[in-house]
Amino acid sequence: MPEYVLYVERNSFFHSLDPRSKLLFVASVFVWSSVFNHPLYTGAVLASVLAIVFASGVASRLRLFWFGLLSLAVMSLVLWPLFRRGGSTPLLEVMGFTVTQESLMYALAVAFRLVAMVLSGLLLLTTTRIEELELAITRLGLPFPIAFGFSAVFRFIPTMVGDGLTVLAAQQCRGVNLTGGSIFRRLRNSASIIVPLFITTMRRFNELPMAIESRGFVPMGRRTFMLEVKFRKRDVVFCAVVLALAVLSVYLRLIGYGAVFPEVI
Amino acid sequence: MSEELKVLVSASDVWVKYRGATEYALKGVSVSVSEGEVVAIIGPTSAGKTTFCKVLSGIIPNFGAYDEFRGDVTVDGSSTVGKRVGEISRSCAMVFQDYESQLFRTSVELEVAFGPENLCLPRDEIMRRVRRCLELVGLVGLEKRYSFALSGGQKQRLAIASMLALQPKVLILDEATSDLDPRGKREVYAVVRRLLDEGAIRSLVMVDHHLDKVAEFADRVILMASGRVVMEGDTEEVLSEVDLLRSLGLNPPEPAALFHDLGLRSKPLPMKVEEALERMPALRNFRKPSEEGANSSEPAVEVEDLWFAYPGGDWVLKGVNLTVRTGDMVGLIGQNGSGKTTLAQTIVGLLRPGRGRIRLLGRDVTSQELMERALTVGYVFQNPDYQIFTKSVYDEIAYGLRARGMGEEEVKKRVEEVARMVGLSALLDEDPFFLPKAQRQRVAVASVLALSPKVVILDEPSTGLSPGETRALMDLARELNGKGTTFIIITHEMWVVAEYCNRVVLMSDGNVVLDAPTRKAFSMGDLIRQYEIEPPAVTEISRRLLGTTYLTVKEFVESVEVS
Repeated sequence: MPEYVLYVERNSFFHSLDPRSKLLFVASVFVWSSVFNHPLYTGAVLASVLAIVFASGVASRLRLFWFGLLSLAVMSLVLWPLFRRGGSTPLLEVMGFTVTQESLMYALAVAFRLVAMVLSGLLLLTTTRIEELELAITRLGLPFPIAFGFSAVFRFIPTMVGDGLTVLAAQQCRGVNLTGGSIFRRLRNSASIIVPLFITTMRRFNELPMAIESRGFVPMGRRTFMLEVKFRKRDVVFCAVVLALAVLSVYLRLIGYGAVFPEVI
Repeated sequence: MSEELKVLVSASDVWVKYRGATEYALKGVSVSVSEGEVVAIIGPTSAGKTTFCKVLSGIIPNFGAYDEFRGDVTVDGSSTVGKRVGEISRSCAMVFQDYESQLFRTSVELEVAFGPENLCLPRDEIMRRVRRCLELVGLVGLEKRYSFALSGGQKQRLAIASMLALQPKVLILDEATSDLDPRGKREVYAVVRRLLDEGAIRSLVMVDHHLDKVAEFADRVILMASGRVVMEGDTEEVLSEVDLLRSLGLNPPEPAALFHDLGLRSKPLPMKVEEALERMPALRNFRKPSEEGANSSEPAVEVEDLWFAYPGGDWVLKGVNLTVRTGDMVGLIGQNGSGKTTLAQTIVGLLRPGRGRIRLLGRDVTSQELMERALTVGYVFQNPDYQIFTKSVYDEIAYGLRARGMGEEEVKKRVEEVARMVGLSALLDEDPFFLPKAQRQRVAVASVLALSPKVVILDEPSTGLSPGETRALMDLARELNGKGTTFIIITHEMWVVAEYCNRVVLMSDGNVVLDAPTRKAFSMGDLIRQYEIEPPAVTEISRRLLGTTYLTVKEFVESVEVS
């Protein structure tokens, strides 16, 4: 059976960072890519995220996502020129709309920005165990049950995918055809997958609180952790660089760099 | 058990009524478990076994919805009422029937660590306990593996290890081995034995339908039925009550059943094969079983040099050759991972073989679509909940027919016919979700039968059913078999094979290693034991005593006379 887990065990530099540093990195990617709206600048941000993805050896695990990320970029490229009007260099006219070079550049910048943001999140999940992330979140002051709830969702994705595939197989065996027929028929047929999957998942989640307590867990009680997250020297340096870049990016934008349309984000 | 031993868990006069239920799930149950004891709780479905385990572990009354809870329950000296389950679990921990729900971390070591983490233990101690518990259950070397990528037996042992890490005094196993293959079952019981011997736990409470296992492990047995304790006593004493056990749909250990039916009723009856051989008086006039003629009818399923691998994986099927003839009732057996389900799913068309040919009723279907094949061969999944989705049993059975565009008139006729066949006529308007598991299983079978396939594959039909319910389902299969439907039954229950199947196909490591009439197969006890399969006790006794193989207690009793 295939495993639907994002985490890839590697010994890369990014893997070895404290999850809190990685969280700061994700936040900074959001800042960097949001302060600029020039494709060269947001492109540079995307390029650096991509570089880390490849350097960390997790690119192959993301192959399922490339198509989604590309669609996200294409959507942005098509839609933004319709909404972000203005600029002085008309390029072409489509059905009464004038597409300017500036609005196209803006669209490209936003496409890079969105992809960089999503990719940085995926980078976090492929290089960090769910449990480490959970621990980091508690260290940042969130109560454990909330952190646990967050990690449980990720933990159950593989189980749900497995359940879904079994339901699909079971229904096909009794003659459910998922490809043909009218819209109405298709809707009805998709119910044959969704209903059992929903019920199975509800049953699982229903038992979960009981199962967790049966393992000695007391809500809001204190607990210790076997994993350790240590904020080491490399984290200090990494975070300093990341923060400095964030400050620098804001400063650059304020003095007028990196914007096609200076008046908007 | 001497009286001075400390009572670890005690329940007195416990009554439980679930919210909205009309009847009490427990009606005045009193039981206590002392230090050093292994107590087995047995009984038919809905006897209240699981409810009682939940009471002992404090889940009831502290979790979930109840109209009523009465009685005193103390665990390790203090009452469970008003306590957190998380606190009680530290002295009395329970492995659920659905043990997978108790696994929610990503790796094996983090799973085991979760309990000690909740105990606020220092990191060194957590790591020590993780190491020790993984040693105890034999999972050393798998620390970094994903918990959900483990086999069933491994997951089960992981669940046990996770509980042990809390260092509870009492461990409760609620039908924890029902999904496992014979090897997995043996592994789990060996682990439990070691835990008791090494003092890792003080007492064990187990719920199990396999009374031969109960006979092997338990000091004391509590027999429950409809919320009450029917009988309680030493293992041999309770398990010697063959008539009572049978009337509740339980399978008494075969040696005991055999002695009982032969009229040798001095109690306690023998529980094990060796004991039965020693105590058996001289038998005379024994008749050799008549040789079953080979089934020479038309082939229903022909599989030729079949290979299969999941993308990027190793071969799961390695050139399987198999012919199932019309009218056969084949028991497909073997350990988990031997390729049984994969073979079945390839025959049905859910999986595409890498190489090889499949013929159904003489027609090559290797490249035929699943939808078309479903008219010839039906496949009933292990868990009926994966397919039930409509609001009534009627719609559920009608679904496949309507999907094929059959008219309502005809659908109605067919549904009623099938419902009569499987005994669901009275339940056609019921919502299948609220039916008991055994009935949901029947609905699943009916919805496959509705398409009138010539061949039906049942994948582990006994999972989650009591022996009595399994028997009822298999009786139905036998009846249909008599009317011409060919069956392939994937199972770990050897008594099902011995009683119902005319042929045994044993798989190991992606290949068929034995294909023989049932009697012949079980007469080769030593061979099948190499594949870690335990032949039924009665076949062993007859073979070693008389040099012939009787498949069931009934056949044995009818063929001999006690002198």
